[in-house]
Amino acid sequence: MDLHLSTQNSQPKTQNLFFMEPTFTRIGKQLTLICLLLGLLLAVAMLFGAAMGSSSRNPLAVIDLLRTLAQPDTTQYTIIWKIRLPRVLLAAMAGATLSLGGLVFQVLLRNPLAEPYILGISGGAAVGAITGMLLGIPFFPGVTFSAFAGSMATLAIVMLLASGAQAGRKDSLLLAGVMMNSFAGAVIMFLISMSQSSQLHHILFWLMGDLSMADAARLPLFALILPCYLIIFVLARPMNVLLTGREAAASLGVNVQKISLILLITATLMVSLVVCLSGLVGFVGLVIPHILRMTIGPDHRLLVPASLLGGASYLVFCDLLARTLSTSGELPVGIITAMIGAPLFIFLLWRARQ
Amino acid sequence: MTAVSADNISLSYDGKQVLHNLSLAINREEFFIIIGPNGAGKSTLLKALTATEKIDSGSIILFGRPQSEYSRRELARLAALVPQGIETNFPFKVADTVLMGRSPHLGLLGIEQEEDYHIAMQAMQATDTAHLADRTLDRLSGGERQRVIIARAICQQPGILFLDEPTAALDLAHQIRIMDLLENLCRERKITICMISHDINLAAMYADRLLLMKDGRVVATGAPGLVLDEKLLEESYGCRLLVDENPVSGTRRVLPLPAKFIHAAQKVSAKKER
Repeated sequence: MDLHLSTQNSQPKTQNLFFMEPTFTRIGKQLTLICLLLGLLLAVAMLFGAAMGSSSRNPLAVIDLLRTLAQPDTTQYTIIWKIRLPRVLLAAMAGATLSLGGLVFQVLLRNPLAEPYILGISGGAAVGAITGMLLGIPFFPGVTFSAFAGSMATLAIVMLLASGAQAGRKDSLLLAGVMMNSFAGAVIMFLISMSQSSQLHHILFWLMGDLSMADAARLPLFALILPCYLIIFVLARPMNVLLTGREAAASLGVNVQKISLILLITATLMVSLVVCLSGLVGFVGLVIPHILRMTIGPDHRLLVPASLLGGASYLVFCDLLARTLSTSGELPVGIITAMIGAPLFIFLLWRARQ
Repeated sequence: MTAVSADNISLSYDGKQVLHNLSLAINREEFFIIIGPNGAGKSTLLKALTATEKIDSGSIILFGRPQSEYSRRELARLAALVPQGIETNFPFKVADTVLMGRSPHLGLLGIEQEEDYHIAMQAMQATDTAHLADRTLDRLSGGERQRVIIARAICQQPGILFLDEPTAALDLAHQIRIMDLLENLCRERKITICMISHDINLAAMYADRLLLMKDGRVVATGAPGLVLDEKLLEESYGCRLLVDENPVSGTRRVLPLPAKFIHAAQKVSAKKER
């Protein structure tokens, strides 16, 4: 039996094919264009991020940036290339990871409002990380592993709570996340107040989302995160199909359980690694995927790379604001992202209700 | 030649048995419709046949090979499913949704070739959805959305198409439009159709064979004229029915009777017997 469509049966509209061509999302060209544009944006953000800081608030410092290259012995050179650059790199990687993490959770829970911070996953990672820090175990693999365990446990509880309530699944998921988030907050405060640790100030600052502890020694942790990006990019097409329903995805040849599990573990792992490095930076995974989805559509083969580059640029920019806004020392970057992200979240929730 | 055959399959959810040693055979290029009361296990049967749910016992043969021997991707190239609803939280364009049907045929990175666009275009023309190509799913009517999902299924180039109540929640004109489309796919493109329907009258006019189910078992299977027997249907559905002949199509016509007409119905049938 011939299982293929026979060409003779097509209706006489076949000439229209050329007219209709642009209607498909052709990923080759669009991918190149998006990567070029957002890559340029990231390069610009990183340039300003490296050039500007508490000692030089003038954007024109960018011009001086390259001049310092010729003078490796100056303080200027040390500040830019030894202090700011690792921090800018950390901001870029954290932003990319959090933004991609948000995108993946939005697919897994089929809810555009899902985000690691809102779901309490970042909070769970923080509980795990602080427990590790207070126990004095080494940063890697000790603290990173306890953070991963904390976030997986939180995720499991949130999913359990949300699946119990049949009616209004969307809201029950968010509610469960908010509850777990405040519970994690309480546990963190409890742990901190019980401890006599001298690192208190440091831990509190880290909690609010802090990129200042960036040092070149911790950047190799990102060797663990890069493969996560690759795994998620390879699964971009099944992610598209998953969004139209589990049953439909299965009938299109997607092994729903296996792929959901891989995505879940990959995303949770990379988000908890970032929490270890930069503390609680919220809403990046909400703001960036949302803006990108509005501009380039819901195809994840484009959204995954775009979220990486867009999230990286965004957090580098937010960190730049955090360092230069206040004249009396710097702000934790988490405060900047929350000030931008929370109003947007409320707006989205309000619009979803309309 | 059989497209699908199930032999003694059983399936239970949460300790409750939904399918009881059920057997069936669907011929190639056949228009096969499953009917039965709510809770009969129709949707579960469809899930078992499409391997969305695992069966506890029994065997299913799909195009001459045990279903369990196929990989998910291989299965998706042979059998497509049109589920009852499709989620539209993330509004994909119609063209891109239809193109998703190519998934099981693409390589690791899932990049489409010229041929894939061509097949998707043909699928949209066959379902009369080409003019909707640039619209997003959430901006379509129920009938349009159903045709788009069928287009996506055709795009898979399956040998058999499973549909779970594709005409539910559609008005009369759209019901006929969907059924005509399915009949055309079956007769012209030689795609075997296996669908669930709550509309016995539509089923009678389109199906080659019907399968009547109740409580996870087959009550009857065969040509519509045989299965749509008044006694059999009344027992299965648990209500009084008026079964007569559709003067246009010559097929059976079934109408449920409210209690207030049961007395009148008995008079009619008594007159008929005399």
